[in-house]
Amino acid sequence: MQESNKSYRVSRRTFLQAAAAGVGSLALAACVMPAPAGAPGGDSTAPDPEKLPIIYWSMFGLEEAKQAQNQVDRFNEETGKDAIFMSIGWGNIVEKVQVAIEGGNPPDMVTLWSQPYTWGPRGLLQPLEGYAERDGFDGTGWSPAAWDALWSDGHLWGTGHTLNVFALHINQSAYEEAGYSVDAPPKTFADLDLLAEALTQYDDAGNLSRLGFLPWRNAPVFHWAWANGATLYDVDNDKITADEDAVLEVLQWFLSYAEKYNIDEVDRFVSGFGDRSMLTEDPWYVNKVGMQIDGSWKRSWIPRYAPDLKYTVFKSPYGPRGSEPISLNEIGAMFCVPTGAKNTEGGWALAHFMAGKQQQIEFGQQVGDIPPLADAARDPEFLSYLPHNELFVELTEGTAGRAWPRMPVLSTYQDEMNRLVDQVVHGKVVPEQGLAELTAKVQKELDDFRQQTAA
Amino acid sequence: MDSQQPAPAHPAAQHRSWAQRPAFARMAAHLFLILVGVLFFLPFYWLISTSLKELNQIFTLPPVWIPDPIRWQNYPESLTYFPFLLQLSNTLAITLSSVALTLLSSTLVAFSFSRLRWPGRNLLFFLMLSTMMLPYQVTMVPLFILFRQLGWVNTLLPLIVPHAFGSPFFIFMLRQFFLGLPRDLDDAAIIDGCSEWGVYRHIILPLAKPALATVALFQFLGSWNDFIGPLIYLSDPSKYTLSLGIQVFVSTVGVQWGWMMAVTTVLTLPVILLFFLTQRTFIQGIAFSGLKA
Amino acid sequence: MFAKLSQLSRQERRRFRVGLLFALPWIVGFLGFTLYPVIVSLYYSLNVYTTFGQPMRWVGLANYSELLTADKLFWLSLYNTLYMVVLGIPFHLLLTFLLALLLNMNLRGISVYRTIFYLPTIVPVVATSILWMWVFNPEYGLINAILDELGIHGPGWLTDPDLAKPSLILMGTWTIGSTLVIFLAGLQEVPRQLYDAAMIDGAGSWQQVRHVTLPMLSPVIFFNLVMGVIGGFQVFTQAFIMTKGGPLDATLFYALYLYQNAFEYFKMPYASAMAWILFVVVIVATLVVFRSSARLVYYEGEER
Repeated sequence: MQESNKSYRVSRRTFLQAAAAGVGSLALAACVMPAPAGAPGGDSTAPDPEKLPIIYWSMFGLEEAKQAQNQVDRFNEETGKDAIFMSIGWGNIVEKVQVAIEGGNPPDMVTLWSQPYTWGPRGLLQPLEGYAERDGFDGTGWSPAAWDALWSDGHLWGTGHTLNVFALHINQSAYEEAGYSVDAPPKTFADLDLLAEALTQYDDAGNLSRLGFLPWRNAPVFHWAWANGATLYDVDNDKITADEDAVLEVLQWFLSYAEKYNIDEVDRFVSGFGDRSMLTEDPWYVNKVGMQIDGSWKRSWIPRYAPDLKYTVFKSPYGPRGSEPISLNEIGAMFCVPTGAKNTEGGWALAHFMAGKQQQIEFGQQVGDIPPLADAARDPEFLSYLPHNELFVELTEGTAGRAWPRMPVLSTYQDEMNRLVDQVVHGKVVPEQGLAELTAKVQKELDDFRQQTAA
Repeated sequence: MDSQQPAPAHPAAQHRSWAQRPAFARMAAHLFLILVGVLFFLPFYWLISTSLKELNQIFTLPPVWIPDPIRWQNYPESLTYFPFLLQLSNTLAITLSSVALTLLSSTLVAFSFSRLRWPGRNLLFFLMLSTMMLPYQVTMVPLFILFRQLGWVNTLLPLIVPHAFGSPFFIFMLRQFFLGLPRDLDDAAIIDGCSEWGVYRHIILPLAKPALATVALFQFLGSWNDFIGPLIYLSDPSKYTLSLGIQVFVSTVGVQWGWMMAVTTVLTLPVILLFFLTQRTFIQGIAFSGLKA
Repeated sequence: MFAKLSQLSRQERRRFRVGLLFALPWIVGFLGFTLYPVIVSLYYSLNVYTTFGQPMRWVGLANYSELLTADKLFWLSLYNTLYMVVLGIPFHLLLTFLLALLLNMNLRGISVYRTIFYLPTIVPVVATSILWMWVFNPEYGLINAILDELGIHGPGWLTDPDLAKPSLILMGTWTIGSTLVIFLAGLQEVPRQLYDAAMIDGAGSWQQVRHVTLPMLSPVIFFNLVMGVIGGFQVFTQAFIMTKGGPLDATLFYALYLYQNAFEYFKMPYASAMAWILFVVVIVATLVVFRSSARLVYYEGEER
């Protein structure tokens, strides 16, 4: 390029000075300008629902997506409506749905996990109890915990067709090699500690070659805290109770693992495979991890990704303050209707359809998750479909199954807990202090929210 | 200049300029540059070779340097896993229209800021320069809400339309270039009865081709490589650009490194090809924008 | 300026209209896509967002006071970002300068080197991030695989909280190419006579660099330093894709935390407050760089 004419040339220094001055004055200008009128409101239109398509965004991919597509096809056939299935992928669906709702351009029905408890009270989802009452969707035959899990703050936020149920998944070859018998599963945290030690192996150079067990891997601290008799959230008083001793002991238990197995070495070892168990390459498949808490869906992936793996599943052990195995039960796919959906009626119709018995059994068989309808879960066809279904169904019955605490700052509560576990096992925070701060922070956010929405 | 400080009195004969160093120094420089060059090149090699490996050759030590057998299937398998062609066409739609809009708008404004004399011009020009220092986060949330009110979220429009209003960086660059063109040209044309538009259209634009090529290239890269824009505005996969679609794909398949490197290669290859086709424009453009600023 | 418009001659008024007309695209864009959002952003930052679709609630400076006094992550993200700016940018500039000096030795094949060094900078940042996740993979990644061949048990580059930021700085060296091209072009503009004069004065290689090259190139270096600092505060994509802010929030950079508040935690006003603080920090940082280098930067044709 040609030499520019010197006399017109702005020196870099002048440029930067001018820029700095300009930015400063811009900031100043913004400060003195009057504030514009209020924020945008959500506008909803109500065109003829019969003619509109029903846009359905789901988390399902691969085989699950095919099954979901089949169910949508059947829905269309039976009702003559036009539902369109779109796979967003489980890795991104939460962010994408949220941006779509906030951007005013959401689908008519979406699948979520525990987000509705936080999103519903914030107005991002439509309450569905009116439609449910009209159409007779009243929880008859549902496992009580699962039915409760659809509600929070007095509203029905969605329907569901499967429960994610968490239990202890064990590499059976390694387990038996270490001299244990499948007839004597570990019952308590202490049993787990011994087993973990037995399953951990090192190579000749002294590097970790198999990690026996890491309690926080794949399992939220909530799961273990319940197993140790913790409450975590006092519904009646609307109080966060993360500072209970039962939770503290769980964190100390985690810390003992971090120290025993050298957390830096563990991090490096585990991340070599990708840290997320949802992925197709789980180190547990290839005998690099001896056992781990995992969701009921895992069994459906094993024939696909680890056909040679010999494994077994036990109920998750309980802590010194606990008395029985418990399990986090999470609505595996909660079918919700976003605020601003163009076809609310259609979104509800599809969500309602998805919760039907046939859909529950079909999908439960496909993904390994447990139907919330007791009838469907105890259906012989379902029970015999995948190994250990009986055990998982038991974990949804009685007092074993625990739903997430349903309150409007659950997302923060979960995020903060994960963060705290991370900090505790890396020795950055003392458990007592961390829990006290966490409790105060989440409680404040809860109180702020109640106060702001009370007006 | 700082060099008035008296240089220590060394015998002059011992010192030579960089360019006249003995052959062995050049050799050393070459060796060092080759070493660094290899280090710079290795990630590319790692990218391509992994994209052609079977999983068992990926997860093995010592590393396999030459894939055997070469597994081309990583490409079709990964590209059919997500709506690749659709996302490619979205990317092209955004990229090409942004280039066209930016060329038109930025040259107009740069013309005004360089070849026309009018009261207030310098003030506005400095205002524009100052906006280049504004972090994009300041406008991110209000723009999102603005586009939401326009009903543009989950459409390609928020990624295209703003380019119709000129980009300060390009305007600045073009202005510097226009200033370097001889002033007599305009005057002669005006005397011949040409309007300002005529000067812009028939004199300045034809002379500014190298600068326009640079702007087009940079804008192409900018749109092709953009991630945060699509991340914020696009929510369903049929609207994604390749950058976003590939990031989503990668976060879904996790550790299928063969597939991940295959799609990454596909995302990278077009810009690499573009670079080799237009290398001169590229290097000159970078040097110009960095030096004449 | 507009008040005086009426005093302008007819000729000047015409010029004004025509000039404005050509500049109109930018003016409209500035008003709509810069000035308006900037003002609205300030307004948002003084509110909270409670329920979707409902008007925001005015809370005055509450967001700012929470950020500055209660939000540990805010300070952590600021620290992480400053770490990258203070350690990363000078390191990259120094390395770039050294490479540029070597390349400027009138070597053969300079354009080949230049191409190799420049090429990584045009790779889409998404691709760079994905590629480097694999390069950094602690078991089978490029770096640790090579270390393994040398008998070294490599660390978890992105999983060790102490290493994550340095690893990202290391990755950043892969994309110094465009600065390198600029430096190189700057070096080639340094008049030959200056070196000759220095040589006659008896200056050695190091003294030539110190007393000729550095001063002549200082405006370019300075410009890149300022732009690097401004850009450094806005680093987002690498952390978003590669580490999601982890491990232990070691790569939770300011722009990432801001994005999370805006688009993941329903706190757009809070994010707006963060954006304004960022704005102030960037201005202050730029002024600091400015002040501290005013004496060091040499501008051609200016008297000292």
